[in-house]
Amino acid sequence: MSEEEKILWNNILNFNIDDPESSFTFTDRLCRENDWSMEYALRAVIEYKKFIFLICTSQNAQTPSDQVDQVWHLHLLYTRSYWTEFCKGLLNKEIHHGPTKGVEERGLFKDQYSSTLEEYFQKFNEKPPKDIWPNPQKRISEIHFSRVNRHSHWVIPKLKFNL
Amino acid sequence: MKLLSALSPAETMLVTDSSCSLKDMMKFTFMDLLLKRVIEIKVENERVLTRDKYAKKVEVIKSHNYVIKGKNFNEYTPKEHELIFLSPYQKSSSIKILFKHLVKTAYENAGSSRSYKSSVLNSKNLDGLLRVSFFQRVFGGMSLTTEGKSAKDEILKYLESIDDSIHNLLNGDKRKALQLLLSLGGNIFLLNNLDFSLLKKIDKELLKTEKSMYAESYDASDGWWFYFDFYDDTHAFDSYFDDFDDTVDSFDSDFDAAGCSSCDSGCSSCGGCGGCGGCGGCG
Repeated sequence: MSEEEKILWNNILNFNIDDPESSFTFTDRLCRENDWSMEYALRAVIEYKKFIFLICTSQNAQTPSDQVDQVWHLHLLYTRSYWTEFCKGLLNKEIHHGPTKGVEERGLFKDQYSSTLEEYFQKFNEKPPKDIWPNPQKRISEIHFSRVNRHSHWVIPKLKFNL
Repeated sequence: MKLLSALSPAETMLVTDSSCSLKDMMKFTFMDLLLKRVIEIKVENERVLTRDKYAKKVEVIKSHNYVIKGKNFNEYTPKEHELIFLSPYQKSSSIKILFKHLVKTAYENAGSSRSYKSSVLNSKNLDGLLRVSFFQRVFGGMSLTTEGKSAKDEILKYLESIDDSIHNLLNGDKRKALQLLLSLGGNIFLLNNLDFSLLKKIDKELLKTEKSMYAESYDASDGWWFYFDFYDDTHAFDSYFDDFDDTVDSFDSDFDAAGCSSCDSGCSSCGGCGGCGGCGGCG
């Protein structure tokens, strides 16, 4: 990391997504909507910040893990925090979210995701945590998420058989 | 008293009263980690616009407490029951956590009172002092061994004697006061009569002398040594003890908040969104 990048990373790291005055913060909502523990959600937010740093410093397009993407989606909903305070106020650039255009882009995203993992390692000098940044194959295959009304449905995990 | 200097407050509580509450055990564990500078509180001030009683817009400064890694974090070897507070920092070294979020994290990590007490019980310091029978394993609870009973009596007697004399010693024989406090390690929170503001009276030279007396028995892996840092750092006194009551009070209110499940789910402007597998982002 260059000196300039270190300053940028420090600024991103210290950006407070959570409103401390709020009794139900951004991270609380992240936990509830994804059924994550508080510890996992807090770590996912740090990884999201690293991802944004990579976008800002890299010439290449970046692809997040699904977990990081969920943090990004939620941050996009907090429009004042995302667009005004984060993008305009801190990063001084607009970072747009580009959903996939379909199955024909799957290969592209897999390659982009792999290069994001490599750039992560180069910039932060540590491997991305596997529980938040799974390997590219898992990233591309585990995409079957649905919004479930838990008042009317039980969620029971599938049994796994090791053959 | 050698045993007490090695015991964390949660371990001492389990020996002296195994029915102690999860909340108290966690609270004292948190404060003990602050004392040892394994974690630290970072206060951030923020300017916010609000309305006064005449509905006029005014700018006020609000302070928020964050918890970060302390200066002894890397050298410290945590006990199992301390990991409920420390695991986020082990997994993400640069993390800074809003105080109420750390409390919630710790409650989630602790699981239940029973599972947390089991993790405290795993400590080597408690070997031979407590036992859990088959029925207690099923229905909960634990009991003291003969050795545990005598340790309990000894601890309570020792704490009581310090409680009776500490106030006068801090105003008079400060060396004796310091020696007694050091012998308690993090268990100073279990004293009823300790006025924390009086700890500022402990002279730094006195502390240096005391530290050199123990220098020969220095053991880097012994967390007890980190208590010297606490008595040594005036800044730490200010940031920890001037706000001590506030911190403990917010623990209480945050405990309620952490257990709350019904929350505002309304969001303002929200259009339809499509789900997708892969998303790309570019600057």
